[in-house]
Amino acid sequence: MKLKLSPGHIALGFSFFLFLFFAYYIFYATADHKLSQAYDAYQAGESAPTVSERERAFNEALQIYLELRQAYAPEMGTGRLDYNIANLYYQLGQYPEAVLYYNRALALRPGDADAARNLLRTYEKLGIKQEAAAAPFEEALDYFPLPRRLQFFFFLALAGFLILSWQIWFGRDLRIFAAAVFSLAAVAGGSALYSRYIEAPEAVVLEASLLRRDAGEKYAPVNDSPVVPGTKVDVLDVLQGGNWLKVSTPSGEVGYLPKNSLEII
Amino acid sequence: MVRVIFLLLIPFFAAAQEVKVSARMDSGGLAENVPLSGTVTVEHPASRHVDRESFKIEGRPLEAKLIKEVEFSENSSLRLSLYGFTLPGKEKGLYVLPPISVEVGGKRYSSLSTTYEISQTSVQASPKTNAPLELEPIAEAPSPMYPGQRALFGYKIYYKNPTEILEDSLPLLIAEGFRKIGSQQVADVPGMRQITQEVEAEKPGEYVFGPSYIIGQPYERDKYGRQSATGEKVRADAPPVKIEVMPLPANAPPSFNGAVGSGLEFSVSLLSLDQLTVGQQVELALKISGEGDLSAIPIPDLCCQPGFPGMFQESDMPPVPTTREESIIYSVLLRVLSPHVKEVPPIAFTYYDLKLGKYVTKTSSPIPLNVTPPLEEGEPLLPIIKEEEAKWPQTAYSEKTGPLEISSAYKLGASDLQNRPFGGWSVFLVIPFGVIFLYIVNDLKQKRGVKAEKEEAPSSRELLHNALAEDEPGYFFSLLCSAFLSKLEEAGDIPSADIGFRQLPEEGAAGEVRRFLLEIEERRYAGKGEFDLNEVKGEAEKLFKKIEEKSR
Repeated sequence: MKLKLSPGHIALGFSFFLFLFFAYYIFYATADHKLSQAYDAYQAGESAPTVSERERAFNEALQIYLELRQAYAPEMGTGRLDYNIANLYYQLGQYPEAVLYYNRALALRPGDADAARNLLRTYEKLGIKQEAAAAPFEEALDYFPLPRRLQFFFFLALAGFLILSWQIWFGRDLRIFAAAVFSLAAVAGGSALYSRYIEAPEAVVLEASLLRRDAGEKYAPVNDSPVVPGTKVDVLDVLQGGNWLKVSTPSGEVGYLPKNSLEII
Repeated sequence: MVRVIFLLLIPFFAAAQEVKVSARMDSGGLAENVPLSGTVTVEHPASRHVDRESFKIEGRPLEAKLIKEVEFSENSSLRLSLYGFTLPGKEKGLYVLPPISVEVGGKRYSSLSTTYEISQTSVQASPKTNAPLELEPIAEAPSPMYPGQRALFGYKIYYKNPTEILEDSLPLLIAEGFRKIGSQQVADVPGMRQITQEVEAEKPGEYVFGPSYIIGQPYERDKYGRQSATGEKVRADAPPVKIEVMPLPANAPPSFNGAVGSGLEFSVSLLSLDQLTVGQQVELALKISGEGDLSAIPIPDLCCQPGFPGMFQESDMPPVPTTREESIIYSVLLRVLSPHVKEVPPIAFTYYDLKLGKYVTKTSSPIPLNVTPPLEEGEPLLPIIKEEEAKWPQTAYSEKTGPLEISSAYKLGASDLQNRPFGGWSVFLVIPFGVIFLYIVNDLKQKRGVKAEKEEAPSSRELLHNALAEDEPGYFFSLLCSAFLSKLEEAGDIPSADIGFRQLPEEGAAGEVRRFLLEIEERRYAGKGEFDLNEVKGEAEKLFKKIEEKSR
């Protein structure tokens, strides 16, 4: 069956693409203006002569960045937005929130030396000792951010299907080559799925809370000292509709924290 | 001569120096109105004995019991003797432990005086029942209680054996509706733990806390310190506690900010110089004296008092209180903002008097100041800001910023608000789409192959021509079959030529072909009749033409 394109079809298709183009432009044009505003406020804060002016400028920049983050949610983005937000929290003295956003930035851009250095400074401010190194496998995954692994998976899988289609069409035996490409795609995709579904998510404690023996305020605490804000914990389970989380602290203690005292990285 | 005597006495001095006496209070048990325990340590040669009946403090005998004696080392003759003593209990506060003297080897030696502090509230263990675990609520609050007043909430937990608390519901420690002052205080005595929390009432109302409970597991430790459970879990309950916070009367004066007390007095004095320039600070002492818990009484809000907005700026640091007997003094720093300041204005302090049952306002006297403009040229004079406009005093002289500790931020673009292309979870759709793509490619390939095969296949006429040109009977017969079957397929008599001639139907043109080919085969193999190849070819050609004409 041959597809016959009438002028009306062509006009409709062209209009659709034109609509997509303008929608994309409008969607991100307003964001560009706000980003410039936020950056100007950040620079004004850096050069402010008094503490109150500096805080006012940083707060303005922070508010804009947080609004943009909520609106666009670049969870698989470049990580530079999270880095800027972390810097602002640091400048405003809110170190636990700074730890959270530095970790988010490093998850997307693990080679960012500035983010790693600033995170260490933040830990020093909070009096938290540097955490022990992760297992080698997980450390390797951390260095290969999730979005990049998914990109690798996509292009490798696409290449594999193209190789197989070439084999089918032209009759050449490219099975070994296709198998190799699909294997690499499986590694990339499998590691992404591992990070998503098997590896325990991490969270940062934002408010000092006692680690409880079970999910509820009525249960006795694991010890007398609350978990220090800024501490990174592994989330092992979610209970009571998400109101309590079972966590493991860097010191190896396992207990329960209320959801409003921490945030997932 | 004196020198000789002195030299002769040196050994005695040396021996005397070997005896040292020190005394201290045991820090772990210093609670108010509880007997105070202390330790006297005597370092002496073993040959010189300590007279245990000779301890004295402030000239009075002091009973001391030997705790232990320790030798310094095998090669030393020195010995350390520790003696415990007890003094009567006292109220909270800072005290001096006078020198304690003792005779050692017939000679009296004394310790130096030291200080100690009693800060803990007295804790006494007095369970009401014989239960293994008992819970007693604590709610020490004034009656009636008003917003701004403080109370002490908490619990006493009595236990017969060491018990690990597994679960608890202690609403008095949460004190919902009250503002917590400081952190929880925990005091332990044998058989009892007391947990208290100081709170402040914020709003009037009736508050019910409880019922409360705790669940614990008794345990014991072996000689290695390992803990093991003994017996069943135990539970202790406490009834609900009701606290009523009465509302303060309406129509409070504007300067009232929650202070509650009885017979309070208020005064303000200047602690710094009265001669200063604009931008310098004055230090004031705000003194509140009277009955009751003065630490709970807030100082007046200077920012909103007449004469302060626009003229003075308060420090960001909260005022530091100093407690004296029946008074509390707050040290307040104010920065002078204008050269038009002539005095520290009168400060109004309003509180609700519990005995009088009404609001009472005490106003301090103004304090003259001599303020001169700043000396630096070009330093702008601040204009007088109207009281109603100066809600937040200008911060022209705010603290200067320090150097930045971290590097600058990135200049972001729209791409920083987007996910990386093909960096999301939807990329896994490449699998089903890829499989579908392969299926389509395979299908297209197969159709293309069938079509090519069809295009390459020779016509029935060509097959007949090839058959008639063949001299070998076997090949001739095979080609003849293919020619006739192909012809029948072209004519539409059969659906496909991919069948044997025996499968042809027996009627019509197909039946004629079937009979003809069977007859040839019989001639070839059964020996029926002669098999003349040329004759057969002629017959085949005739039959072929006949079928061809029929199909047109």
